[in-house]
Amino acid sequence: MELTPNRGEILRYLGYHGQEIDSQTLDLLDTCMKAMADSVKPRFCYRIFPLEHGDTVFLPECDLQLPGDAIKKHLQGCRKCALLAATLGIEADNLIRISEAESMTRAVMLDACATELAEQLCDHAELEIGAIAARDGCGLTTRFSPGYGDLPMTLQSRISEILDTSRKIGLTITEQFLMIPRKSVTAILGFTQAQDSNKKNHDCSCCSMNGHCQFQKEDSACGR
Amino acid sequence: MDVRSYLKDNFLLFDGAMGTMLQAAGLPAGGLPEVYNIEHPDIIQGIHQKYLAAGCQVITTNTFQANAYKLKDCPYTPEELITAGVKLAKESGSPYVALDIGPLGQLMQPMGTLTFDKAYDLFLQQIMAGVAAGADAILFETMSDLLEVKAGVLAAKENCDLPVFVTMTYQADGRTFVGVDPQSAAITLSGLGVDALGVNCSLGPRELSPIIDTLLTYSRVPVIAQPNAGLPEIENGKTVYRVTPEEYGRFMTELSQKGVRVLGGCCGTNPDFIASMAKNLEGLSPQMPEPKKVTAISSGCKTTVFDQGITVIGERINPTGKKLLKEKLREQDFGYLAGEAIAQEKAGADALDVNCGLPDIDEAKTLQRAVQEVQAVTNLPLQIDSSAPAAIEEAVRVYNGKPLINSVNGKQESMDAIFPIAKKYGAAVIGLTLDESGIPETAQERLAIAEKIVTEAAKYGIPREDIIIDCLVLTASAQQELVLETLKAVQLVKAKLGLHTVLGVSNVSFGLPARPVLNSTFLASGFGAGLSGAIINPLSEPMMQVVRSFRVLNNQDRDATSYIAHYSNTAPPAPAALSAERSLKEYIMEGRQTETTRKTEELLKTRDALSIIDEEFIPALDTVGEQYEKGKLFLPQLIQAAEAVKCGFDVLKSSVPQGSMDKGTVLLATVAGDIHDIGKNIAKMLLENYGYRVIDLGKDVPINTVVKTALEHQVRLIGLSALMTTTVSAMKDTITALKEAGCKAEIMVGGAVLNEEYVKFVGADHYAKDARTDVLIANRIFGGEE
Repeated sequence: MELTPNRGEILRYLGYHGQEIDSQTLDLLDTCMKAMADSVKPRFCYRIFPLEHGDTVFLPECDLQLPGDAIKKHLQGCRKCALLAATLGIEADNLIRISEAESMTRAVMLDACATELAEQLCDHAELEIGAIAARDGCGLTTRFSPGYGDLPMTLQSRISEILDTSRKIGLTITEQFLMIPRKSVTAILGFTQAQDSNKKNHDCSCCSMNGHCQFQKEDSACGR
Repeated sequence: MDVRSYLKDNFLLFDGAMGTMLQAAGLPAGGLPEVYNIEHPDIIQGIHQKYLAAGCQVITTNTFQANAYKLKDCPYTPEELITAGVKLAKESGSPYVALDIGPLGQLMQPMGTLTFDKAYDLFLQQIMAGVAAGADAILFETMSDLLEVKAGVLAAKENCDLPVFVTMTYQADGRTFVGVDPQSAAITLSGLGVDALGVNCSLGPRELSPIIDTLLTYSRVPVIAQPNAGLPEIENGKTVYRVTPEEYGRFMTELSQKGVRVLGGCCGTNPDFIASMAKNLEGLSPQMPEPKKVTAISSGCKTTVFDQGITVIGERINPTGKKLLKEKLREQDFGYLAGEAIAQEKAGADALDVNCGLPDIDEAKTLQRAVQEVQAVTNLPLQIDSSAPAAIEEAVRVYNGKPLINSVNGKQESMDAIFPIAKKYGAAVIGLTLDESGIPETAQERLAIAEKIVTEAAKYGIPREDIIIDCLVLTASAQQELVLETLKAVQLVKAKLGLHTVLGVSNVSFGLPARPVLNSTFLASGFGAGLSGAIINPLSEPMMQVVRSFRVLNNQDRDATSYIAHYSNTAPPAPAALSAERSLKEYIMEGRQTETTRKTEELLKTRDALSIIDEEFIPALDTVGEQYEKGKLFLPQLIQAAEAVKCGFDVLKSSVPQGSMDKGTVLLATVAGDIHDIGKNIAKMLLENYGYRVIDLGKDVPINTVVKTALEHQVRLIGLSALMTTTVSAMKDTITALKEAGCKAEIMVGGAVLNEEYVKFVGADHYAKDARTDVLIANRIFGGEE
């Protein structure tokens, strides 16, 4: 799978909004984009489960409760959902770690490149899942991850177990629910009844950074 | 007959998948299969019986995930599930029972948070339970990380006598998830003395074939293959395997005829696959391929083979005669070592020497840490260098891969101390041609010592290709008549013993002017004499010129590809447009490192360091910081300016006494459980830019380390970083512990998820929303006076 970093997005993650950039900085950024794109080993895995709406959302086939109001609202009207896990591989972490010992500028740029590639990887996985949903006559909700709103981070471990991520894509979860490799994503995508789906615009109301977020202040959002 | 004896002359057939069978029997996705050992023993017994009927000789226990970490939310302990699992396997009537142990499910440091000792303990718990229950062998399978495997293999070999089998899982790119290649795995695991090594899972027998070829080439022990039933394919979100039992049997037979001795199945296989394999193997005899005898050392992900031409071993991580490195080692500041490692790798080193020998530090502890810190930033294999056997052992124990020990010598005492370590940890060793009577004058006598070293090593079962001889360079200014004797010894050792040689070349020029000239001439003569490895400074251009050119002459650099790539671009750069000289402040603000260094050097001729900091660095940084705050500059520009100042500081540091520029000491740490430390590292650089001394404890720092260091150094300001909501609680615990311990320091906290509310919650004094705020807080506390 070829992922091509998008320079505009990376600049945005780096806090860029139209300042004057010298060619030295841009050249460095281009080198970082190439180095990261060459290093990553993007992998993802997912499974699709029927879901039941009770007091909480429940996935009987894998015995998984999805607690909280936010996910309930997000999956409203969905009869199935996909659990997705995606990672750029430990190579991204390694490259950033080595760069930190050399040049922090490079490290920060590489980190932003990886963040952008992880988003692209998820888009890629979403296309594949979307095609399956379309065969059911369904569309997809946006990706909803543990840690959004009141959906607990602890779910990270359960999703990893259900998808067998350590064996399938090399993704592990620490006891503090951090994902390693770090540039990884777990997410839930609902199968919506209508093909055109209820894809909402980026919803900041459920984010813990709501009100403090730099992107918000600039009338933008972190994801796409 | 025990497993080891049986394996000598026979194929050994393992069973196939357990998970696949259990899912078919109703195990829900994400459920713990091991619980079935107690709750549904009949199902497990049924599966064992089917595999036995299919013709396997080893039943693998259903205990893949039965470690304390994976079972933390399970009602049963590892002991309970393993005891039940081994009992079921034994009751099946299987000739042999292998205790199955999978990965712990956590990545080892530096990638993750799992320490070597913790991994060892988790494995040990499983092993002891399996031994007590009567397992006949231990199988580590589906492993990705050689260091994790090493912890397990040592836990097994130090506590029981059972045979140890190891299989690793390779992806389509030929490497495991953490980057291990089959050559490094075969070389490292053979060294550790496992009974058999190989592959399982991830791919089918056809795709695994080239990986198995590599294992067969380098493994000194029998090779195992337990592939999946073909390449897993995703169909409607479900995994399917397409190889049929008949095809599987044929593929496995082909592998057996290449030399694979231990055969079984992984995901997607069932008793039909094992039956087909057993039937195909009937009447065939195992092939016993001779492995290639090479002298090789390895990191987890890269192997350096001495037989492939000349090898450069970087010598810079050695405090002898290096004031700055000595200081860094005393301060336990390993960032500098990391930088040295990266620089030498970039300059073309194939392996790195690591020496931390200083009289006033704990050498064993420091060397161990240095090895870990260097391995965190480079894949080059390391040469672990110490005259203290205890320090060598501490370091090689946690080393990822097959290390090179520097060194043993012909003294009986040295060989008695070093060879047991080399054997146990599977290290290669440099043997110095000196003994109780010192360094002999003649080449013949040095050859005799080399011979003695090889003979003694053989008594420990260390093969001769794991010995590299250092014929010892003498100084031309003191013993000029003996310099060429060393080269004669190199020739003799190669011709008579067939061993590889190394030399620490630069010793030859000690006490003479223009050392690089002598060194490079001597190096070239060494290569001419057949020298295999040079322990040199790879940042020395004259030395690397000899290396690059000799690699063309000896046909190592085929078609001179590297040589041409290196030298075709060395035309002097077009003269830059004559730009007017600008001020230091301007250079800093533009992030120009070279110019900042030069200008600082210039200013230092007429001004003192402190005035340069206060009147140049800090005003420039203040301006950059203000522009950043106003949104006129963005993050990379701020950091580039900080890096430029860092270059300036390096100039100042070399000219003024250590500590005389410090404005105060700040302790920084990323809290326990959190491994995101970019933010903290930016803060560190900026604080140092403003003249503060930073004690950087790194990431994932245990609470007691923060408390102990804070009290020991009586710091007045502590900065803690946490990036995730789940690690903010560790921040709170750290702050609580600091206060309970009576620490009076003010505490600032930062990290992406933090905000003013969190700051109150964790009990910090200050919220550092970015690195610049850290500096403002420090300025307030230290008043800029100290």
